Amino acid sequence: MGFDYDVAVVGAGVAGCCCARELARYDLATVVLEAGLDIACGATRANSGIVHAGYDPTPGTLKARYNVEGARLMPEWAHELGFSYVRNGAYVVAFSEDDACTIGELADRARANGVAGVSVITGAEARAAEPSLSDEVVAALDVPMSAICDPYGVAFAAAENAAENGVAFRFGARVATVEKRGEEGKADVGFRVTCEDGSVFTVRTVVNAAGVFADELNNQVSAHTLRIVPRRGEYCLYDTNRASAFKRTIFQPPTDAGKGVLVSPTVHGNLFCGPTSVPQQDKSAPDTTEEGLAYVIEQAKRTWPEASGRDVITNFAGLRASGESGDFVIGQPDDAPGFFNIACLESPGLTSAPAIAVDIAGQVAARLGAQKRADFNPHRAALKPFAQMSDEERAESVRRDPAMGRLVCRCRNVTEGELVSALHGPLPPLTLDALKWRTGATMGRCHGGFCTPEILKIASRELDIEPTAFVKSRAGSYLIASARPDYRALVSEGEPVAGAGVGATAHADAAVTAPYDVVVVGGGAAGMAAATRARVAGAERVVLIDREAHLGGIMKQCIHNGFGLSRFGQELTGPQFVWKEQRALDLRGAKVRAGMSVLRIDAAAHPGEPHTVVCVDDTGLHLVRTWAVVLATGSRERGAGAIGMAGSRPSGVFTAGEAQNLMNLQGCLPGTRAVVLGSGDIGLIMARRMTLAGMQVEGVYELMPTPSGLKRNIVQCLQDFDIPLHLSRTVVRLEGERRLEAVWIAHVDPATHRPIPDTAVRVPCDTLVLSVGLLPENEVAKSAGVELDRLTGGPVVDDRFETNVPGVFSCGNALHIHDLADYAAAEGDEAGSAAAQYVVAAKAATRASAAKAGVGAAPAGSVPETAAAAGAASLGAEAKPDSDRGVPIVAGEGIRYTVPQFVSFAEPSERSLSIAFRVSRAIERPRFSVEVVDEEGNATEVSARSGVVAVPAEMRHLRVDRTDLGNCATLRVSVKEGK
Amino acid sequence: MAERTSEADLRIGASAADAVKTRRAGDRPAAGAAAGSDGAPAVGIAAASGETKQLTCITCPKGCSITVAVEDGAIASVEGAGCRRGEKYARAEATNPQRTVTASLCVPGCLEPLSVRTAEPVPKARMADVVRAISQLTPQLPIEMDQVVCPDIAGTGVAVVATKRLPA
Repeated sequence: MGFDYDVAVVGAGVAGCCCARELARYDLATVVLEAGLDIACGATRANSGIVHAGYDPTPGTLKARYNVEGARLMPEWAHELGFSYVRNGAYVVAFSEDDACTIGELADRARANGVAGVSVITGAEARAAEPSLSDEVVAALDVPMSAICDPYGVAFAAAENAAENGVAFRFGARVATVEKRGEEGKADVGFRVTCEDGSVFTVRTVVNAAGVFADELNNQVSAHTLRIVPRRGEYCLYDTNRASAFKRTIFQPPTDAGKGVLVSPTVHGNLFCGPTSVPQQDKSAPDTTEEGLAYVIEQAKRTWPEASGRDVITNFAGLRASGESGDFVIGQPDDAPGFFNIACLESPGLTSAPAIAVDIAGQVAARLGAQKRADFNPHRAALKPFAQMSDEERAESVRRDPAMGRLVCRCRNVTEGELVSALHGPLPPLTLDALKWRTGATMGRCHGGFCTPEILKIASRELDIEPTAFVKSRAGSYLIASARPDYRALVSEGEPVAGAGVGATAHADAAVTAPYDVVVVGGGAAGMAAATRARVAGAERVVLIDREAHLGGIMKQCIHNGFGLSRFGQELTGPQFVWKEQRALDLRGAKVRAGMSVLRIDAAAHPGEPHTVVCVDDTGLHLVRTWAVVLATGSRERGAGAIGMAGSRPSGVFTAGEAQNLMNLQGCLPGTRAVVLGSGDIGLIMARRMTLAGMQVEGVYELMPTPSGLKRNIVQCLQDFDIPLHLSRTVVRLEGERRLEAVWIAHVDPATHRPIPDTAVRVPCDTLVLSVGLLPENEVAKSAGVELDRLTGGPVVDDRFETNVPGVFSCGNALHIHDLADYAAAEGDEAGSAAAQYVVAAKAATRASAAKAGVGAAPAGSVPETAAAAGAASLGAEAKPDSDRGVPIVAGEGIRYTVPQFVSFAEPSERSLSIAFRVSRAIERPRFSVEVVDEEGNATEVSARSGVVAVPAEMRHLRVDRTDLGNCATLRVSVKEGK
Repeated sequence: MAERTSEADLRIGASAADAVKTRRAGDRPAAGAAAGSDGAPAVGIAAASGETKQLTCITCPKGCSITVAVEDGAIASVEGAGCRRGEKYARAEATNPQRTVTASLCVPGCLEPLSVRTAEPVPKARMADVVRAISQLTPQLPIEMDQVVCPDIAGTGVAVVATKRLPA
């Protein structure tokens, strides 16, 4: 009889993928059968990602053998296959004398297992190297060979290399039965593998890499039964801003349950803590639990006292396939020759996978008498991620493919070109999650809030599928419920490309062009205003750079009315507001470069030099030199990760802006039955929008005891449509394996803002829309060395909106979150005007000093070295220390923050100083006050105002007469409850 | 709907909005931030004689609380409006509440939907009709900013205009 394949590998986790790659070395026909729609759907996707050195397993076990060999192979594989591998080292810390004994034993085991370089160090030595480590640590095992990797990356690289070398992959093929066929020793000996979808494969050998299901397959063909008890592990993942906490992986002393809760950086630049270790019966994809996540943080505090829920961007859970013996089960059972187990692959399974793969492939080849292929290519032609390219490589990549210059995922700098090549790769992704794991798109801070709608278009176009057919992870996890019938045809036609050839400074001849006076980054309400005003205030060469094809930023999708009353004296919709700003911009002659993304700003290194704004579009990489920069980069929405919801990870969870984009810019309906979490204005607006579009909105739920949105929106968005608003509630859990099926909503203690246990009720819905706050977006600011305020999330600025980096200004939602676009635009006016004045004044000073030095007037657009002599007004001076920034404005009693944070005294005294601020809690009959505090601490009130009620959701302003600021050491804003 | 009305629920947004809450003449105006438990459903449009209405102005972001006294179907007084727009809104809201409707609709040949608005507010009670009628409009490219897409939507006498430009 004929066989379909020589080998069927069941399971495309890291073990199956590595094995497939090693099998591809031989002249064998191999198929990988995977139940999920992507590789690495099980334990591989959700584990710690540690390449263990091998000090932990008991000497003589399979774990010890494969761990040590795997750790040796891993860097070789990383080189050949191009996955991330970082040897960051590890400490196993001891908190007590008992623990110290334990790590002493581990050191002995390390020697027995042949692990080099392991030593015991003191707690003080450990803290010297890892300052975030707890004072309770008394000793540590130093394991320099320990490393981290991206487990999905390892599996994917191996799978893609296998596919390139001819291995077939079948997804959505869950193996139901494996039956022995033929007679041992005869040519027809083999197996009949039947999948749940009815497909049948006759194969000569089977590799059982089915993860938590490996026992069930083994038990169909062997009397040596296995029993796998899955153990759930839950994790918390932190924002990249926490990555600096630890260089090394920090383990706690191991127990019988495993290696305990560890804290470790990841190869993606995040930090995580976890896992828990809880045995469970259910083998399906695990949920996270509120208790588990709380436990992880509690335990992590032992090693990292600063651990908390703050900056946690997501949580996840995985299952380890723990066997009964405590060791791996590898190879053929004696009663089932040709059936090769890679079973019970709990930790250190990831590390061991390459070594096991080499062994098993060799055994399979030996059984089948296969020879090594001469044409096997062990190297994967991995595209270097755009985010990791040098400027030269980026310029070259855009030259070859203009789509490489179109940034889709702005958080991780993933380009359209990368998405397209991933979608047409050797192992094409079938889901959004697959695309995410392979390219990094949607994995950044915004969690896909910005780029998912764009990715939907690209996926529909490249895969030639209806947008409704594109799923998040599993069959049925659709992203949107409905789309216009001609969606696919329209995305295939492509969109006009804006921004190309708008006279951008090409990379090669960057030095030839004179610097701009002002570059404004971001074309939303604040940025458009800033560019216009910079021209009005005398800047000659002004350019506004925006990543999207059309200006307006988020206002483009705000099709509702309510904008413009203070700015234009007219009630406008978002697009109408943008239209008016655009006309002002055109009238004033600011240049616009749309479709261009700013990658970073290289701040002037020396006085007298301009800043360089590094940006990319589909015509190439551009180095735009400028004397002043206005950062109007806007904000992003707080996503699901920030709320710490437990449960499953279905599709159907959107940020309000994401849902708004899908509806208003793509004509799609996200779902049919929605719950809105958060009563911010965008959430209220979306509740109305979804209702008018025919969706059922179950209600708006707000964590705080007061609504966050404007009163008028409560009236016209909720009451008009009988949509209930529930205060002091939050979503604690998501339900649904594929698409969201329900959310669990708990009461919240108004004092602590924590959910009250046992109050959760189930609310069925297929869509959760999050309106839980905006966060200023300042990645570009950070690249320029701009100092950020922890409370506002935006730069620390003086009253000219200048940051600590001279010539770099900030405004709009990038500076602090505004309640109204009109106010953001007004701030743009101020910042744009200040930037222009800065450039004009500095140029004048330069010309004056040049004239004094007898050099003659400097030609316009160039600033000679003598600029350094021009003093405070010189261009491109070094970053200012606080002491040079003027008088600090401090948030006193009851005040959360102020903007600006300094008064520079550079403004004329007849202009009053306006201070924006928010209260830290709701306060009745507030009396706001600004006091001048002198060197001795004596306070004098210089401005005051009373109100009816003040809430944190509402920004307030106070004006101060500058002539009152004499003898002022500090300016203090405070609020008291009135009588 | 029973699960929606526990004590912390806020159907009317008592602390933020005392909108369209009808009170007998002589009653004290609704207290500002008292925890809202009396979530009375939105009251109908026509007011009986001798009543005052508490409204939250939706004209601008300030959200002024406005008291309108109605006697014999006519407005006797308007108090609390911070501006003339607000007073005008309150007068209309007390007798014939109106809303500006914004919506979007698909245009052949262009993925980005056309955003539109009613040029004037339409009667609140007609909003659903207006939205339905807008969804049945079939404008063609190119479309200019402020272009009239429908001169009289759903028989309200109010035009629907484009709020963005969609070139051919």
